[in-house]
Amino acid sequence: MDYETEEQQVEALKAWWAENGRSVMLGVGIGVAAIGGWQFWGKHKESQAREASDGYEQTIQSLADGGNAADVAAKVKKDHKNSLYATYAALAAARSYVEQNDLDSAEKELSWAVSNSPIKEMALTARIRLARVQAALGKHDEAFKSLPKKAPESFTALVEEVRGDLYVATGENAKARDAYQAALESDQVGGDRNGITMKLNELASAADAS
Amino acid sequence: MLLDLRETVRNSKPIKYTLITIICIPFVLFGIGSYFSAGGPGNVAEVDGQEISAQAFENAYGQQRRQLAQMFGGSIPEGFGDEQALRQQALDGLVRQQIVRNLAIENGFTVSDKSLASAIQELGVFQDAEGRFDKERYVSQLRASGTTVEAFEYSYREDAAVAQVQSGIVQTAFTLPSERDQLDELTRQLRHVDVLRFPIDQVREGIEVTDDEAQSFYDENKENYKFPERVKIKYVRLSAEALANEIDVTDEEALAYFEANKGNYVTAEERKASHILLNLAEDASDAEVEEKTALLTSLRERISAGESFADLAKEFSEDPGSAANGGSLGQIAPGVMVPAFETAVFALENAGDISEPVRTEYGVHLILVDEILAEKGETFEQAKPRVISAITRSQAQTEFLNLQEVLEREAFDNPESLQAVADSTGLEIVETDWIDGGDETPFELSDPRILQTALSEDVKDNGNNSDPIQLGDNDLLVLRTEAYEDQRQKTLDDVRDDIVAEVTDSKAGDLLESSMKEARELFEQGSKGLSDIAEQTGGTLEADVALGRRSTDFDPAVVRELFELPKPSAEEPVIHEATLANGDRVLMAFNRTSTEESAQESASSAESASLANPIKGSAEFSAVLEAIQSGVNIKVNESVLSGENQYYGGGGY
Repeated sequence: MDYETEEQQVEALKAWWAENGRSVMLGVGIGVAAIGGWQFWGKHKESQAREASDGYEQTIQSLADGGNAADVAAKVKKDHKNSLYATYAALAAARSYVEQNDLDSAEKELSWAVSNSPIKEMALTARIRLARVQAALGKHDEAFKSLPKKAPESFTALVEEVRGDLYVATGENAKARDAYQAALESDQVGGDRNGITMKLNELASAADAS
Repeated sequence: MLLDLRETVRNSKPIKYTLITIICIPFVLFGIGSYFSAGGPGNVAEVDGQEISAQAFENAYGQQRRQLAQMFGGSIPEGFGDEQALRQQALDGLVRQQIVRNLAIENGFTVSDKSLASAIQELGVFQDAEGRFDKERYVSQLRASGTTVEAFEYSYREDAAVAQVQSGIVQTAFTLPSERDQLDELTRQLRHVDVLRFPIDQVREGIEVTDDEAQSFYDENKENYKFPERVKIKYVRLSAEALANEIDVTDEEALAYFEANKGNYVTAEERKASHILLNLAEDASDAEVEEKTALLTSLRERISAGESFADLAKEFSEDPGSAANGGSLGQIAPGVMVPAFETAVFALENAGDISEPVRTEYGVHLILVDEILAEKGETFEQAKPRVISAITRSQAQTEFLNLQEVLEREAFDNPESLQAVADSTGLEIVETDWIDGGDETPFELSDPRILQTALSEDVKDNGNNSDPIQLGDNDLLVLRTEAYEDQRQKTLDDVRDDIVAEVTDSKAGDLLESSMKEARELFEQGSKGLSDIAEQTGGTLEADVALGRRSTDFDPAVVRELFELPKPSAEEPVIHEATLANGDRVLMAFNRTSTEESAQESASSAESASLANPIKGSAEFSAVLEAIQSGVNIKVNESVLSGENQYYGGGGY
């Protein structure tokens, strides 16, 4: 199907265009719209992220300055609920409340972080902090519940130290010893080895008595 | 089948054009670059699909080595820090960094323009003398370090986002007041003990060791009394320091070196100058040049007649930078100005002299020398000692490198003797007496590698020359073992003093042990405290000693044991026996605890102290990272990791 002359080629081209022009235009149109939409979406996400980032930075700054970080944090939590920034803002607010000795509010912030963190390891960290705050509030049952039943190996020392403290608070010294022992034996004594050792030694007499 | 396909495509116009259109679109939209992005063998690892380049790895590894070397004051000791372990460590660090980076990316972490700007503006390098951000300095500093503003801001933004991932855990970690108080109290706990001490010195005095006892102790422990194996060696040592002592430098050589390296000893003459510039294009016509030159000549005459150069410069000079300052250009070091200008400046003889008009690419200048700053620095005589040591050092270094090559080759080619090495290098063969690495080993042979090499199979048994041992910078030694002696039995007389001391201690220990037993029995027969029984037992009593955890008044190991004891009840102390480091035995009665008054006024300062606990935060963050790491897909390119293939070699994952 070779073409004899240039005119024939032009004719053929025209015929093809008459037949397919509409769909080609439509295709190009959809393509352009999709690209535009994608770019718009990207820009939107980018600006959302920068807004969240600014909010988080302000929270940390206010924490460093000794101000009330919770106010700034509240906005980040509301506007960017599912972002890791919101989790971090809640953690910052919790510390801020701890500094103000408002442990009830600190507990609420940490609970929020536990249920909203997009990353499970961060939620786990928040859980351990939550258990400590609850223990300080005397809510031992809740604190035991907040502690994870099973956690990755790297968290063992952090979790078991808190568990040991809780058992001491509830007077179960033998269990407390086991927990401290487990913390000290874990590969990474993430917490304060010296502190755990002191707490463990402190239990020596009570364990012998029981 | 392919042929069919080709025919179909060729014969059908719609298919042909559609194909062309489809192929064109991506090029138009994304450019060609995306088809050629790198990947594969140039990387050391992939973390969840994100690549870590071989180059980044080599950089990290190099940095780690340098840090380690710095810790040891220059060079990493032989055998310390196995290379593969160091490489693995460097990789682990990078993998962790990459995990944090991935977290930042996946969670959309970023930094707004505003905080990026304020962070950069706070960096000292980009600030002027008054501490203000200087935009020009910013751009020029970046250019000097071979990057662009865009690239720098991109990577700074990324780093800041990555830092946020960490700070969200580390900066928000806290200590609860109750936790702080508990630890504080534990730290300051004091334990009160009565101590009944049985000093070893007291019993030692009366103890005699008979010859029979010494003999039987020697017989039982014969195995432990041996002289270490020892060697006699011959060696040749090549050191730049020794070579330097042989080098004489003549005064002529020294002077020539001084002249050639004058910049190291002398700051060249500089001049302060002013000028009046009349601008001219480089290709200005002769007529134009003549006209401007004539104007300058007339100005020169007016100055000679008494008018001020500065005033005329303000009026006529067309150099916008200097005209307002009376034409002053400040200090001019050689090599800064265009050659014609510089020649004219340095040709003038005295301060206050004015040049004839000078043509440069900028126009025509009239130049005034304001001040001549003479060359500064040392004279040859002053610098001579330093010049000589510099020459000696560099000659010795060169000679060392030459001889090193000869030495290594000859020692290897003639393994059965050092004579060839000595003949070809002119170095002396030194013979030693017995050496065993002990106290009597001469200082210059005290490097443990020397004895180790002398005892190695190839040198000791096969009688070969050793490989050169690198003793320091520019310091080598090749040795061969001339004689070897295995461990030998020491006689009783060699070790009698040691044995007497040891038997005495053991007898003293037995005596103390029986005193302790007696004391303990007495105590258990119903006494209330150690003070009741001290006199009967002959021990010395130290009553109510308060010991803290870090107390140094007492043997630290015993203090640690004390703090591991159960607590006493109100009626009954806890009894503990211990041996001090000096051999004294003690019976301790742990009666009660108390809390030490804190040194600082803790009550008020603790209230205001921050409850931030970044140390705990770091521990939490590394727990997080390690947990994430175990769930991440990490591929390692072993050939890059092991260093076999440092630069873009092949080898898949």
